[in-house]
Amino acid sequence: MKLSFTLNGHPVEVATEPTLSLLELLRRHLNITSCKEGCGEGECGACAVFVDGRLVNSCIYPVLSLQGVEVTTLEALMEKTRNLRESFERHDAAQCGFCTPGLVMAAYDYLRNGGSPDPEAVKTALDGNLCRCTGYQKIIEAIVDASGEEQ
Amino acid sequence: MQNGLLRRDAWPKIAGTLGYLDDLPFEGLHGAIVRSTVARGILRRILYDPAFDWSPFVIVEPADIPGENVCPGLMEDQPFLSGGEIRFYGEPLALIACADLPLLRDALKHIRIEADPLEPLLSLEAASSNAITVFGNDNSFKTIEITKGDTQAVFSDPAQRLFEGLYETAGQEHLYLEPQGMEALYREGVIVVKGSMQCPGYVAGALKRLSGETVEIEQTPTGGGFGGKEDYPSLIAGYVWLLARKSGRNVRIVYGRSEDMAYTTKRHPARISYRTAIDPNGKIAAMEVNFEIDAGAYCTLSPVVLSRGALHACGLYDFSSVSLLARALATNTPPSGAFRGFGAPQAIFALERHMDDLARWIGEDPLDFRRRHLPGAGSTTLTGAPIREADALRDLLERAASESDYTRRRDALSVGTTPLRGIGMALFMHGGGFTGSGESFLASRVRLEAGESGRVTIRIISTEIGQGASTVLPALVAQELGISAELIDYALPNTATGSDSGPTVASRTTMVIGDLLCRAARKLREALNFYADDEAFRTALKHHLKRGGERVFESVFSPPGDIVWDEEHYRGDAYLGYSLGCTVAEVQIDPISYRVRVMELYALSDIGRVVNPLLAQGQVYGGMVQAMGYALTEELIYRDGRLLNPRLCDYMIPVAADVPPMRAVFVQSDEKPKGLGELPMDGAGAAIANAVADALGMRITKLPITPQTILEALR
Ligand code: FES
Ligand code: FES
Repeated sequence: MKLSFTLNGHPVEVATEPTLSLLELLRRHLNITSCKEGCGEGECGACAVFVDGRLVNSCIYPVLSLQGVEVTTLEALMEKTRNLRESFERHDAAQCGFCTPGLVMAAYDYLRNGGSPDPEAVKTALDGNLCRCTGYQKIIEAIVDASGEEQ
Repeated sequence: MQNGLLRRDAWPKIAGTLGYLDDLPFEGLHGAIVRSTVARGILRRILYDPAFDWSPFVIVEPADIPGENVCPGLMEDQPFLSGGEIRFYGEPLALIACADLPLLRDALKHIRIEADPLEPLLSLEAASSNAITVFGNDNSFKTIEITKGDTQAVFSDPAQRLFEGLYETAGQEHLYLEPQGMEALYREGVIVVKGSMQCPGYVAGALKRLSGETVEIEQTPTGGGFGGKEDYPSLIAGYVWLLARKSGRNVRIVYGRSEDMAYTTKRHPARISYRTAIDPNGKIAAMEVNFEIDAGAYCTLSPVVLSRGALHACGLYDFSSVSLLARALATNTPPSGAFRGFGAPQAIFALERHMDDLARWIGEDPLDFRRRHLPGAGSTTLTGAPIREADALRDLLERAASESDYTRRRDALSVGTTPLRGIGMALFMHGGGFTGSGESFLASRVRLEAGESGRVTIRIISTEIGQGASTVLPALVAQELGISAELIDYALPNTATGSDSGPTVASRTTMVIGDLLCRAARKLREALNFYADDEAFRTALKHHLKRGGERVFESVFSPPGDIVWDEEHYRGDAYLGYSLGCTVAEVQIDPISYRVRVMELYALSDIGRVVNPLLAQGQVYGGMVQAMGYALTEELIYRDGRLLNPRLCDYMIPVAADVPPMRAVFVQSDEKPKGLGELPMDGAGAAIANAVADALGMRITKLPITPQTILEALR
């Protein structure tokens, strides 16, 4: 089947199998690898991307629903997430790093929607993300620290 | 920022641009594994649906193996592909590859396994009683007996009171977030294997046996390991190599999450019993320990996991008489393997729970009970070596007790005004480096290479797996050279170009490899003219090379003279040294759901010199949260030897909201850095279990402590 949608501000047209997930389409056919496959079933948040401004787990997002939408991945948010990412670096919030892009996306989404710097609120906001290395502590600190800054 | 404090690879990780294996461009075939569908049996044949078009596929069976069909562990028992005897559900039998991934997945549905099933041995208990014999004549891959003092004499003395406890722990999935993956690539006509791994040296060894050739192995950035990528990647490396050889194409295998959870190694389940004699003064006079772990279908590394577990089963307490029997038992479940802590978390859970049970039994506060059993000047370890850490251990316990405000909180919680809240502690150690003569046997070597540009490159095969090796090791070299860490490069581990620094396991990288690198750096420093700063160093180095001076500086491990180990009798110094830890946990139990919530975790760690406080703290937080999952929620459910919950929605690891306030504090009792990676995983589970027991006022003898376990304990 043929699909056209916007990816990181550019129109794309692809021919694809209808059973594919958005994650597979991005990673295997469109060269976008910031989104990772940690579980493939919507549990870990490593594959997060924005679809029409809403954060989704791309591994369970069917390509069938892509027609005409706008997809934004971390690759296109380098400037907007700079402060946040610097805070992640300062706080050593990434250990193996596999979960990290997904966490940056979740944190960015939280902060740009006016998320509070209260650590408990941050923890709740990270509901959909799994990290096996850090114990989350430094991720939470990094997000709290970045919350004062402009996103 | 302090010299080299920030993680080197942080920026590309955070931006999502660091290429993990499956992020790298790839041209070639995707591979998959055909697995057994019974837990035990004899393979009759593999049926490939005749109605399906097999022409786009390459298939590998055992007969295609050019070398030996043995994946080397401590025993030569595990084949890469089994052609006959099936020992666990999901055992690899054949391999298949094609260019089209969806088609490959479809093909697997058209393959059927015909086998004559045999009755499987599925539990540690059944293995222990020899209900079915699947290995040797008692199912034991390895048996260790250790005796200290004369327990018989003590137990036959009627003045002693006896107390017994059986403690059990379940398996645990590593759940590194990047699943296992390997690829075999043709480079100038030769196959090179690369992928996600902790130990390129192990993979190289395994491929040499399989192929009869020397295969170059390269690590790709690795999204977590925790022991799960210690020995297991050797198998997948073999699979991609076999498929690449037969097809003449590049081959990649990346596991999906379910496949990874169902068939890769797990932490060893354990059953540990203590029979303890308490003398009239309330002091432990003798102990009998029976220590059993479930090795699964093949031996893998189980003997050394067993050994570490046994050697940690008495902590560093002052116990004068102990007799210990430890066995690693075979069952028809997927092989167990290395997992952060390597037998120690099981041992420490059992021992520290037992210490609390004993304290409660004689009516003493657990802290005081531990104080009375601390080692003194003449105390020896289970294997009869002097306890050099006696003073450090005492200081650690006192400081932890006062900093965590243990006594006041315990009194406040036990007055009954706050129902179902409790506080618990665990005091423990972790032996650094390989057990016994392991380090001497490995004889690790490291290499520094000086470059014309005035920079220095570390060329070893110790891997960065998220623990920070590629940050910490350059920092150590830089400190030794008195220059900034920016001048030190860390080459990607590759067996063709790096010195064999051994496996990245056992909290040995900073302690053992770091020390070797410092020695090599000292040689480099001595070879150069005096320099005062970075610029002068670069000039001195360039000058040195221009003069035709040495380019390569190496050092090789040599055992310290005062550390003596007798492997045959299990006597002497079992480790090069011990890291020490004391964890205090507070919990609250929901009176209706029986869910345990951890309210606070405090960890005091003595790891000698802390090379990088920021990264060290991160190791402690991460390890404690992993231990929290181990203690409370992570449960593997099997039926007929098959994992029923190989999915993240059914296997609950901690999320951010589960994480309590945590404190990670370090004592530096020594100038030398010691191991850290495993320490926080060792004790937090025990401390949490003790807190739950304190809250309920009853014995908790099993991990994980699910609502079901509590309900059973209450009945
Ligand atoms: S890979 Fe999509 S949520 Fe885990
Ligand atoms: S840093 Fe490894 S999973 Fe989060």
